[in-house]
Formats: sequence, structure tokens, C-alpha cells
Amino acid sequence: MIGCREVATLLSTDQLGAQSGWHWFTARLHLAVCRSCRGLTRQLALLRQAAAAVDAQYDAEVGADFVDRVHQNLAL
Amino acid sequence: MAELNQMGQEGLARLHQRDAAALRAVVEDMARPLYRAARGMGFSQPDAEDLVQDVFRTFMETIDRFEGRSRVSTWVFGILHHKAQERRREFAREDAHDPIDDVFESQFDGTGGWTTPPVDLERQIASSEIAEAIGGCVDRLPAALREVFVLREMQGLDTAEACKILGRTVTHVGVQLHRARTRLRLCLESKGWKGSR
Repeated sequence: MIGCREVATLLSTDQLGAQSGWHWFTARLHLAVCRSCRGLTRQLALLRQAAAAVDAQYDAEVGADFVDRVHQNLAL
Repeated sequence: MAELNQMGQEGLARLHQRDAAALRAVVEDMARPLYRAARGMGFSQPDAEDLVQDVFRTFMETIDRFEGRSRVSTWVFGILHHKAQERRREFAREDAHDPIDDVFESQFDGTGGWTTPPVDLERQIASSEIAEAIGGCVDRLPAALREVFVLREMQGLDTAEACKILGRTVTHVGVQLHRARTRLRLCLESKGWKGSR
């Protein structure tokens, strides 16, 4: 039976979806019954949420004319 | 980016001819994502802006080598990757063994079960709060891990595209993403991001 370490590694390396049928199924089954590993999935989702929030901040800090300035500097 | 990513032979020919409208379309689609990625990699605002200009200059100089076998976005992110490496003068020297691997392993017992389960973060968190919390954690990531995290999580590129951009294998990118995520999770936990368990 697949254990927490293996499931955690598959989740964290983004390799869960790349697993073959049976391995994928047992990993999903493990996730269904393991609260700790589901906690990891929520942490990873939180990281994505955090990354998107930081990305939005970067987008807001650059002026609306940024693309125009790039065009001008490239003489386009 | 959708239009550019579905570029056909006609679009490619226009780029090779330095057609101004085609080049402007690339700039319009990619300038802001490139800027955000450069900021995510740790460059200051002025340096990130300068880097974007530099990427497009190189894009225009090397456009004849672009054969349309990858997306335009992959091509320009690849230029950004090389420019960022040049500027950091940090050539992705990476230890085969990262101490964070030991930290990760120490979270499991001999049977592969968690000894210290991840904190279950169930509460909804304001974007500004979470952005502030993770900012310092991302700054502490080694450059190579930070770059993978930025491309995958901030820019939302899939693993295959990140591999093309960075010139690394799926396994390598997976390991780097895992190391980045493990460091960031532990960093957030150390900042007291404790939800209900």
C-alpha cells in the first residue's frame, strides 16, 4: 500500500498525474482516507494562492504605460 | 497569449520579416508576464524593466532562429532565463544533495507515515496578507529553485513548458519544485500560519 511519504512526494513534485492507472488510483485512494496528506494538498494550494497574489502585486506596480514604453524603446 | 501560441506559418513568416505589427503583438502579450517573472526572480523594479527590454532586443536579434516548434512564450521566457543567469552571474550550480531533503524525510517514520503532519490550513486568507507572508520566504529561496517556482506557480506554466525554458528534465524540475515548495511550506508554518487541524 502506498504511504504518506510517497504520496507527499508525488504531490510536491507534480508527478501524481503522471502515474500509471493503478499507482494513480492507490495514491488517490490514500488521499481520500488520509487527513494529513489532504492537509499537504491544502498547503500546496495555499502556495499557489500566495504566488498568484504576489504576481498580482508585481503587475499592479508597473505603470499602465509600461508596454508602450517597451514599444518605444524598441522603436516599434 | 492564446493567439501567439497558435501561430501558424504565416505568423512565423511575419516575425521573420520583422513585421512591426507582429512584433508589437509579442510585446503586448509578453511584456507584463516577463516583468512579473523577473520581479519574482528577485530583480528590482528598474532591473526588471531593463531586463524585459533586454529580452525583447535579443528576441528581435535572434528571431531567425525561432522555428515555431515551441510557443513564442516559451522562447521569450527561455531568453529571460538566460539573461537572468547572466546578470546574477550564478550558473545554476546545484548541489545533488539539498539539506531540505533531510528535513522532508525527517517528517516521516520508518513506515512512511507522517511524524509531523502538515498544518491543515483551512481558513480563507486575504490576498494581501498571504502575499506579504510569502514574500520574505520566496526571497530566501536559492535562485534555481526560485525560478522554477516563479515559472510554475506565479506564471502558471505547465511542467513541460518550464522544462523547455530551463533546459532541464521533468524529473529535475519536479525535484526543484518539491524543494522550493517544502522550503516555502516550512517557512510559512514558522511564521505561524496555523489553521485548524
